[in-house]
Amino acid sequence: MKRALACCVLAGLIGGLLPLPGIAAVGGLPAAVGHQDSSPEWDKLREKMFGSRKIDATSGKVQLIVPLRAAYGASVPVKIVSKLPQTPSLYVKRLYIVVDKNPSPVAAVFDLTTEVGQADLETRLRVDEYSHVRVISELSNGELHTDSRYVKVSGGCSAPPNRDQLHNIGKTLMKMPEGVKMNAPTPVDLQVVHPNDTGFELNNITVMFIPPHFVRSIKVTYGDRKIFDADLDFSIAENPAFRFNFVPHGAGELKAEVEDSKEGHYVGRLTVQPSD
Amino acid sequence: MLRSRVLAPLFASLWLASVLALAGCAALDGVRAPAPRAIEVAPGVYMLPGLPGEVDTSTLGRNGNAGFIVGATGVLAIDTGTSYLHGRALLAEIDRVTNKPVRRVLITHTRQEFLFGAMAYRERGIPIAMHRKAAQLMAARCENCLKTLRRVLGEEAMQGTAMFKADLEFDTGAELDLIGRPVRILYFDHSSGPGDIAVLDVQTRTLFAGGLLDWKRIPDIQDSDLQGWHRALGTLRQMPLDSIVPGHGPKAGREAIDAVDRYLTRLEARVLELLKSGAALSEVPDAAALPGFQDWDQYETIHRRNASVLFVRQERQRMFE
Repeated sequence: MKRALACCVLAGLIGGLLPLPGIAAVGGLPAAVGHQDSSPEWDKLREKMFGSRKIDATSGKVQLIVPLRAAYGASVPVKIVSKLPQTPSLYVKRLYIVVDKNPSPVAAVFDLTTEVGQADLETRLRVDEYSHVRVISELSNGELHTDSRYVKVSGGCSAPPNRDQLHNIGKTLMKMPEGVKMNAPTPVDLQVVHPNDTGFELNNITVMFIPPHFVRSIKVTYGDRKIFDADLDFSIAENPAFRFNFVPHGAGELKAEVEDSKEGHYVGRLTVQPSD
Repeated sequence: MLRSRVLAPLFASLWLASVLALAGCAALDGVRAPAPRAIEVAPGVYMLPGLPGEVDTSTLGRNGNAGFIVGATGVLAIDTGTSYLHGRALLAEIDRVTNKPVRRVLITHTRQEFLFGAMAYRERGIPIAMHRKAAQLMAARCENCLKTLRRVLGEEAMQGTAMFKADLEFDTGAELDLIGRPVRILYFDHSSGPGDIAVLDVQTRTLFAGGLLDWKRIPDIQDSDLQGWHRALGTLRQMPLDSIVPGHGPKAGREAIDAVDRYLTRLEARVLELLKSGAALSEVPDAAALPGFQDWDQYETIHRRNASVLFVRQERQRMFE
């Protein structure tokens, strides 16, 4: 009984110290967290990444679509929608994806060109615990816009990491799910076979830590034009998957150069022919 | 907490006797969770039913069934509950039903609601046994499950709960002669999980199905090898079984075997269909709706997750076709 009381007092103290906007629920989870709220992690990170620059959360220039109740925390699909076209005079230059509570919160930084046509992106994230997921969109004029969602991952044990395809590591596939649209934004699905090991998982046979091994960067070009570069971290789910746009101006080769954290280099190619 | 404070002086007078100290903790525990009540599913075979619903502060995550078999010379316990306090409540209920000693506890599979009560059994000197692969999976990932449980349920509910190592690990099925009554451990290789077992009371043909069977509740496929699972269900179908204590949900009959098999088959077919149609992962939880199963417990959570898990798996396979 005494121990239980001590625990209550302790929980109360911790609850009082946490600068969370919601009231601590019985189990210690914040009761109500707004999608646009900050978090202690984000306050720090924001300062490091953007200093005192203003980040507009109300402009609606960028939208983040995430299932609010993520079915599967190891692979949470996120979609970024930009509400402006990529024109040389004004375009989305960078997109940052942040998962506040992850051990390495900056999941991805995409460096975009006007060749994407439309700066929409989809990928899949690891979300370990209840956390905000954020996108920060940096425009070519220096403006910063953001959108965020508080994501609840359904609890319980996580599946053991998959080790089936280690012999195929780095294999990079691209396809155009909607076919080619000449001189218009054409969606591409890109997927890299890679365990994207975080370094925090234990092998369930050896019960030893699996060393970190994840896709570090992807550079996508079409002919000699850069489409985008991405700097990535292990907050991207296993078998990193992306949907992006590019604008084909004629036949050519779409190329994705992939580099991982153990200096593995891989290339995926897709020949693009104008459709009839 | 307020309630504990009010009760504290009341119990203080009884604090002298250690037996009553135990009762005090049970009462503390009872503040938020109803005491498990044993159901005799066959002569000498009992189910300790878990609660439907999710892991939250109303269920305290006590969602899994446990049970026990009373033999001539002792008791075999099956699964330990979600927390140290839950384990103690299960043991208290076993003690209420029989005064025979608990000789061993078997953990059927690596899920938090079946294994984290283990410290209560260890405290009583009861050997904890599980399949080696279940033990390995537990060692690999359950630190995180425990962390999540503490966060969701709070320190008070999870007090005394800790990671542990089983006293006995085994690699195959076995005949147990421990309690003066024959009990068989069934192991089917990787099925619903890598080290999942079922426990058969030979005399009454009662099966404790662990992770292999849920009844009126969506089975969780995260750890599964689906082909292996279908095979195991095929084997179970051939066995003369009179009643089944599923991992989750009420006592069942043989129909649970076909129901789970049918769910898995429908799930696989639906997800493959979605994959072939070019669906995005974000659409999968909704699009994989299986109306025939929507009144099963956890349809809104586990089914949606199952669909996502399987979509990612099938996608991986299809990348090489």
